This record gives sequence, structure tokens and C-alpha cells, in this order.
Amino acid sequence: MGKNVVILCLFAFMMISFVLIKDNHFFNPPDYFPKPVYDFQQNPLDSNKIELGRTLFYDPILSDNNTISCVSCHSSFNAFAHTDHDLSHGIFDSIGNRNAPALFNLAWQKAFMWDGAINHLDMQALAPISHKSEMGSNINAVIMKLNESKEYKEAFLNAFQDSTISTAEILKALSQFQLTLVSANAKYDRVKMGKEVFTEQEKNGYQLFKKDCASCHSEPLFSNYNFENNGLPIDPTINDLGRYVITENDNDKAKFKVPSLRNLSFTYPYMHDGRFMTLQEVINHYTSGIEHSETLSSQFNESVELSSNEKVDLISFLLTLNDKDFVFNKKHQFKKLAGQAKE
Amino acid sequence: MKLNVLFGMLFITFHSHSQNSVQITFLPKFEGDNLALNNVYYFKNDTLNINNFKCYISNLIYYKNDSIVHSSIKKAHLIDAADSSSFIILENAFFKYDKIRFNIGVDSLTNVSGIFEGDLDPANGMYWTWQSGYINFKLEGTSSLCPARKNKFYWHIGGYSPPFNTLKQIALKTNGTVSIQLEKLFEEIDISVEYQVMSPNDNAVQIANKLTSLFKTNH
Repeated sequence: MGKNVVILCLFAFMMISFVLIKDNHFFNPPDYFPKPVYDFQQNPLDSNKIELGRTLFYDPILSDNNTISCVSCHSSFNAFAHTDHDLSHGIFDSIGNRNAPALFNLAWQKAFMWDGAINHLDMQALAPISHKSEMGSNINAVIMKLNESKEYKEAFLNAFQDSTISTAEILKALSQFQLTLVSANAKYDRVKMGKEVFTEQEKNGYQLFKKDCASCHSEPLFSNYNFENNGLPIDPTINDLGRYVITENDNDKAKFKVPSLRNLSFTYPYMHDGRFMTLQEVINHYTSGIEHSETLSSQFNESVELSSNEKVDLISFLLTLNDKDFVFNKKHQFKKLAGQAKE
Repeated sequence: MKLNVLFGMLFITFHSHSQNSVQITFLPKFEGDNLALNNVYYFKNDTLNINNFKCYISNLIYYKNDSIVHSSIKKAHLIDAADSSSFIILENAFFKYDKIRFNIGVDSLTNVSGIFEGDLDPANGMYWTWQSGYINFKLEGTSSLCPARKNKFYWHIGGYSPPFNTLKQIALKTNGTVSIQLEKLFEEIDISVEYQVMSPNDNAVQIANKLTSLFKTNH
């Protein structure tokens, strides 16, 4: 009896470690990261599915006229953000009304888009696919096109053991690739793991960060992923009321999802409408540009005061959040499907 | 010998029961007739045409003498006026019932749990892509009283989180057929004002509040 229990426990332990090892292979955040929000049990990571998601992410087949892919606005070299443009643009050179956000550490996010319009990572891709200024297509058209492709049929068969391509399979594959976009190897992380040390300037900057920024941009993800009004005057050419558009709750007026500060150097311009090109402009906004309104986050009841030296120190700390290993990771870059002919 | 007969009878009963499955039918109707899509209806002082009607029935539970006898395994069932096979819900079990309880629409847990297949596949046109959430009830067509372009009206009723929760629960005594009396909506809604409802908002909640009155049985 006792022996059986021991054997059973051993077996269970082996099974659990097997599962853990298997998952760790694709998703291996540092232990000081919180528990992910995404339920991996509903969509267990698998190399075929991740690779299929990666191919889809880079394929303009998702757009109506095969010109726009996810990467058009989410380039790996920009931490999957869209630089150079304040407002991102899509099919037929249409210009949208927001700056495409960077994509990483998505497993910890409970809502997507600047206004949280999307409530689950799996459902996110439906939005750009269907938006008339982004990909201008719809999921039925995408399914039809993919089903006409021998290579995709094979890839879906390998990944899902199913020859008929479905919405769920497309969305789950895209989620899988995006879940592997974990950014956790910036200098900040190496310091955290005891592998490196901050310079004096970075140390000062870190203290200033903890005093003035950390309540919304909380460590280690550098966002609490809540919706906040950070005192940006509303741009009358867009009149974007952010979270309010979704909830129609007056308390949500001009609130936007707090973005992570990781990989800042790669993701300019800043804010939901890309109004600031440089970090200096961003910091100057917080010290002298805050516009007071009813929904302004209470953090700004006291003004943020920084000397010019302190601003430089703060920026030097923020630059330790750049994760070059993430941005230049080859596993996140374009790769053809195994059977796809060379173009 | 007697035992054999008994077993034989048992087998027959058992067999016939296992062959049986229980079904319930939801029939979209307009003024007592089965709804005909793209038909011209003269209703009160309006000339109407319905070209699309879809609605979710979910969390269906069957009762006999006020005790639960069966809970549908299927999370949600999509009724689509363009596909009469969708009117019938089949339960792979045998039981007798005199009352059902169900939701009109998709519950909030399902709405926030990611992607599903089958009737809940977003490809069915009952999912908002720009703002996560299922459309619980969709009715589209033209009305001579509707001031919109080409007299088109769109009622896409959805929303799962307060204050715009549009899910409605209903219980009905029935022996197998439920009518969805669509004309009632045109009695209760002023279509010259409410002709475009396509997001979770106050208007959607107002219309959702009228939906339970559409479902009727002969009991």
C-alpha cells in the first residue's frame, strides 16, 4: 500500500516535471516575473503551432489584398511596435488613429489594445484582420485563402492534426507565437539576477523611477496594465477618449492602457497617438505638461519635479530596460513554411 | 421462458429508448407564420422585410415537475433563420420534460474565455471583432419607417459586462416547440428612432429587455 503510494507520487512528480520542462522550452520567464494571466492549459505550447503562428504573423495573406501582415505594424526590430509614424497605417495606405503598441510579455496582459477593447489574446488578431484601415479582410476570407494553400494545409495538419483550417486553429497558432515573445533579458534583468551592476547614474535613475514612475509602470513588467489618464491634452484632430469608447463610463474618459517601459529605445514614437518622438519629450510632459481633468490619475495630484540632471539619470535607468537579445532574436524573425517555394 | 420475455421486453424498451434522443425546436415566426427571409410583411403601418435573423440559445436546462432532468452538453446553440436545421436542438439522451430554462445569448464567462469552435466560432458573424464579445441576438432587414439609407435597420444586440449586460434568462413550460415571435419587436421598438444598434450600450440593453417576451410556447 505504502509502496504503491510512493510509486504513484513518483510517477505524478515525473509527469509534472515533464510538463514543466516541456513548457519551459518555449516559455521561460525569470522567477521574479508574476504568474501569467494567459491560461496555457487551453492552448499548450507546441513547436509546430508556434512556428505556424510565426509564419501567419509574417504573412500578408491575412489582409484583403495580400499587402499587409501583422509585421507591417509590429516589426521584430522595433520590439514589435511601429516606429517613424505617429499613427500607424494599413491597407491602401489608410491611416488609423493610434500608434501600434509594442508586443511582448503578452502572457501577462489581461486586455489588449490601447483601450482594452479585446479581452483575450486569442481574439486579438480578429480586430486588425477585420479593420478597414488595417487588413480590411475577415476571418472567413482568411480561412478560404489558407485552405487553398497546400503548404498551409500541411502545416495546420502537422500542428493541429486537422486538414480543415478553422478560426480557432488560426487564432491559437497566432497566440502561441506571440506568447513566446518574452522580453526579460535587459540590463535591468541581468542586474536583478546578479550578473551585472548598475552605474551610479543608473542607480540614481532607478531611485527616481521608483519614486515617480513605478506606481503605474510597476516592476518587473514595467506596467500594471491598468487604464490611466496621464494628463495628455486631447488631440482635437482625433478626439480619442480611449477606454471611454469601450465602456461609455465617464470615469474612463481619456484613459489608456499603461504601456510597458521595456524596450523604449526601439518603440518610439510614444503615447497612444505617437505624439512624442523622444524620451526627453515624454519626461518633460510629466514634469511640465500635465493637463488636469476629472479623470487624471491621482498620482499626478502632486507634480513630478525633476532637475535636468535627474532627467538624465532617469533616462539612463530607462535605457537599461532595452532588451537587445529580444529585439534581435532570430526565433522571432521571418521564416518561410517548410514547403513554401522560394520567392 | 417468462424471464426471456421479460428480458426481451426490457431490451426492446431499452433499445427503443437508446434510439431516441430528445429534441426541442425553436421556430422563428412572424405573426404566427414561419419566418420567411426576404418576404414582404405588411405589419401595422409598416412594410417590412427581414433578411437576417440569428440568435444564441445557451445553458439550456430541462425540467420535469420542477426538477432538473437534463442539462444540455452543448454550451451554446446558434439559431439561424437561413438554416432550418439550426432550429432543432438534439439531446443525446432520453428523458421527459415539461419545462426548459435557457439564456438568450452567450454568458459572460464564455465571452472572456478565448476562442471556441462550432456554433461559437467568430466566423459565424456573431462576434464583434473590434471589441471582444458575442452578438446575442441579430435582426436585420428593411422597414418603410426606417429613415436610414435604403431603409435598412440593424439590431445587433450584445454586451456581457455591466452596465451593458444583455444576456437574458428565461424559463418556459413546453413539450417541445418554442416560437420566437419576431413581430413583437416591431410592436415594442420605434423603428423610426432605434434602427441602428450595433454595440454594447443603453439602446442594446433596452432592446435586450424586450427579448424574453418574444419566446412563447403553447402552454
